[in-house]
Amino acid sequence: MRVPLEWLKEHVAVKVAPKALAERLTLGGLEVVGIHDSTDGPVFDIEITPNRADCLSILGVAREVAALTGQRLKLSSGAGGGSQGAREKRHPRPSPLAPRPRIHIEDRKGCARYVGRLIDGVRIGPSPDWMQRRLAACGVRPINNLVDITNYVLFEYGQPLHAFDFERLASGTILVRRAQPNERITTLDGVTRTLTTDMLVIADAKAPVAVAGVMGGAGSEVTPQTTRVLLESALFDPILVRRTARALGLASESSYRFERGVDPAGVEAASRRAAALIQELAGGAETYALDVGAKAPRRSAISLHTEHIQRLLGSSMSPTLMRTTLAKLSCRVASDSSGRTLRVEPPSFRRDLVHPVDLAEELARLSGYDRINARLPSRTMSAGTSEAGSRYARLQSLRCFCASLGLTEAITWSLVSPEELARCGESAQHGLRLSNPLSQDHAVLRPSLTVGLVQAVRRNLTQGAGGVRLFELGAVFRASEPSGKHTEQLHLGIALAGAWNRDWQGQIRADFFRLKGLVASLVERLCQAALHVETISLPWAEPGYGVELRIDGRPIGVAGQLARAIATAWDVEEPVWLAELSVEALLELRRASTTARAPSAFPPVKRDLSVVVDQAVAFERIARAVREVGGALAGRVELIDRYVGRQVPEGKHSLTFGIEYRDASRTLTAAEVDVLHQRISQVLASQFGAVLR
Amino acid sequence: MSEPAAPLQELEQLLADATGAIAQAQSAGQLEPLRVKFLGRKSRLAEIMKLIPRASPEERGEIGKRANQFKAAVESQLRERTVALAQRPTGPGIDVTLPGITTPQGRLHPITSTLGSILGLLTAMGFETIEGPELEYERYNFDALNIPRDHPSRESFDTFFVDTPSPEPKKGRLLLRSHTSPVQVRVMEQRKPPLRIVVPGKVYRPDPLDPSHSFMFHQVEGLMVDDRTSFADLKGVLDEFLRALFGANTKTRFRPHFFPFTEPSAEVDIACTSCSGVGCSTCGRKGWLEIMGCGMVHPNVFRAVGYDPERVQGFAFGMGVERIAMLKHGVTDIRLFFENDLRFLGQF
Repeated sequence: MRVPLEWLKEHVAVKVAPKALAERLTLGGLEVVGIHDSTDGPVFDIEITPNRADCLSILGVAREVAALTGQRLKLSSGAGGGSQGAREKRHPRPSPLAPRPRIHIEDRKGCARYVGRLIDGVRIGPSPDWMQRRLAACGVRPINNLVDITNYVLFEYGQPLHAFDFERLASGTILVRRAQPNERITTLDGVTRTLTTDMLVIADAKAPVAVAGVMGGAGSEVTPQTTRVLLESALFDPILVRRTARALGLASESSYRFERGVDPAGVEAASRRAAALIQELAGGAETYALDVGAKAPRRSAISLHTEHIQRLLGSSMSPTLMRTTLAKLSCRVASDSSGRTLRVEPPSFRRDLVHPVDLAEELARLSGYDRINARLPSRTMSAGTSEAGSRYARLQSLRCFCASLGLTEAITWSLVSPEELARCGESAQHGLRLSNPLSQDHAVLRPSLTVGLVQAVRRNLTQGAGGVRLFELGAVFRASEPSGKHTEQLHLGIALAGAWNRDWQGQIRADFFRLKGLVASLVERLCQAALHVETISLPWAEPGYGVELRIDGRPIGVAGQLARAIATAWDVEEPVWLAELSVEALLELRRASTTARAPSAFPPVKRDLSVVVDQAVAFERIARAVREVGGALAGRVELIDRYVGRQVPEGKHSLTFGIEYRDASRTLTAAEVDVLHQRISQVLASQFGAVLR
Repeated sequence: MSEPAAPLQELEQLLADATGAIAQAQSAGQLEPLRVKFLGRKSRLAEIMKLIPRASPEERGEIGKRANQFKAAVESQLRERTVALAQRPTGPGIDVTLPGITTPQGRLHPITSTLGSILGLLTAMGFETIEGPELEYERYNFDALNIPRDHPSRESFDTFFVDTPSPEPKKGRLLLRSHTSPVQVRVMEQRKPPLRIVVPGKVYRPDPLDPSHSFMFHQVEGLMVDDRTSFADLKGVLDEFLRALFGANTKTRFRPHFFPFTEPSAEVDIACTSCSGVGCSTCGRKGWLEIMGCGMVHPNVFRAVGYDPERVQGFAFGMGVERIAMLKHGVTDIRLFFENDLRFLGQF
């Protein structure tokens, strides 16, 4: 809302510098976001919050200035720039020659009141300079004296007005009604619009002549030839105007004010003000004034318990100060015999004052928020023992653990494009779509972290990164047909590409086992469990390189190499390794606390075991056999070397196990370890055809 | 010159010889023969000592003193050289100026670490961290927060709607939450006061991407409700929090504002961190930076969750995490947070 200072001063005395006034308004809740210069002096740019419709006018801001600075409102509101005349004519003299307009409100809910004034004999021409300058300062282009006057009063009083060319209204009739199905109107902006029965229109005897509260029609607009004008000042329903403006994609200064609510008691005053200005500036005489509909009902009073306000604000503001402060805002205040309960009747223009708390804000802001002394609450202490509260701490430590493994945290878009989903081998049908996306690039809620992570990998490789190690913790969304149920789950994604680490001593490349090791570390740390994998077919993974990740047989996620074809489609040359885990599963399988065991006091016996075995035999089967035969005494079994090459036959590899034998209660003898060690190699030989090296 | 003068000169010469020989020794093994040579029973020192009884009484003292000084000097040089030799590398040595080998470093995203500082402070002040869904119903995002349909206050909350029939039509359409406030409602529906919670999380609004807007960003929401929490408490808690976050000298101001779900409502500004209130490009020449919104929970919100507004009162506040991270780290383009460029992420 733009407010020229000189116009404001017509309604209230301003005794401080513009900057000081701006500061006072800002701290009073009307934020001055800028002060611009115009030929007539400074113009304030004020941000009016949606609750303060009463401040969408010069008069409204003047009322606010008066309340905030302790000045009186000037009541001589008939001035109008340099103009001296423009006195209100309270008793129109009907001319016997003038036709009598007919006004009927059919939809009383949509239009509570309609004031029409007929002014006969106007001469259309330009409006005076002072008016044009003020309108320009408010951001409105001058058109002609009639239209300018309606705009001028809109800005001055906050009441939208419209001027019809009365001769162009069929049968001189104004009918406020709902539009008929498919009724059409060409609005002032030259666009022909199709209306629906949800919309309120002003119609003449034949057709709509204006979209009520939004915009007038071209067919009845004031032209240079107009001599008889019907001036409309009405009260339209905020919700109806808002829906109509939205449905038509048409917003105006008028609809903006009606949506937020205009002063029901100001309809007649604005009409009189405009009629007076018309007669002064465009000539003519008012011949009829019709006021149809209900007068503004009296506001119901708010019962204000002063102790409640004190408790809410944490302030000791006295009931007397409350009374005087509310009176400054034009509230009618009465108090009960105790003086502790006030009966407050807000003025008609403050439609936002409904609850006692609304008055609490008025009291706080008028005396100044800075006058309420800050204090720290003292309360009983709580250790935050709820399950929900500790969940976030667990997620934070999961993030920290990922970072400690060498992974950098990414945050990728939750909204992805259907095309990119398809390029990652994911069907968009699992993704929930937005009904109002900004663009197709971000139109679907991600069903997995894949797209975002692949994008991040590509970006970094393109920018010359030698290696990419990323993780992300984020929600993924899925639709399940046809029930319409949807899921939102927290996933942990890992992406590796290029070098895992490179320095002058050498390079370690990211590969499947690096990825598997990272996941195994997480599982070991969080769940104190072993990770198992099972080859499966994944839509995005290279065949044979995709696995399901499991703990104790329960699936917790998937991992693998991004299919080469997909990588190529993304212009990525490097192999990309991806894992995605369900965080819920990890948290459910989390081992809350450990019971510690003292390490054995008896020394272990360490033996290595090298066997040459067919590569087709899964390592895990061999390892399991070693553990089974070794039993409780084989405390630790590790693969410490794997060799493929000239020294072993084609299709075979050499595996070296490091086995640590120990007993918690005694020292093992070399002889008993030898027996056990030998039995292991015998079992490997018989079960897998393994040959001892 | 009488004869006894000669031993003193000789001791001087011997010290020079010993010093040179010790300095040239390249191993502990080479030092032992030098000890024998200069200090042993058959050394020149031993012979000079034998001459002392025959010298005149006045010379006797002088020779004895000098001989002891010689002995102490040589012993000390031998000790020092032994230590020096022990510290010498045995092999060919290394170039210690070659780069160290680093372990691959991972990092937390700057939004995560900023969230971490915010939540750390609020947790210390007794707030409990709770999360809620990003996919939300109209009821929680709007209706229960006193943001009715067809009301202009909804305009401040442009929202992405999800194109799927709502599985729970009573709760309205499905949408991506446009603020973290719906979690307030969810928590209040399930718990009774007193409550002190903070809610971090992603939120979504259909704002096209530019240096200061993103359709996805993070918020932290706070809520404190009991039978007495007042606007003064709100000011106290936020003053304390902002001083802890931005420094002990941080100046704050509370400006009346409008939010449908709080009344009275305020916006909180801090004196610009770049210019301390003078006015610069960071604060748009205002001298103040808008940092968060807050207010006393609206009675209609309490009613919507089944609380009695006559018996409970409290405050809510909310802030944008990206904005705080940008101020703290001098980031001028919000998009950098979501490009995931390691050259950016590696700085935090």
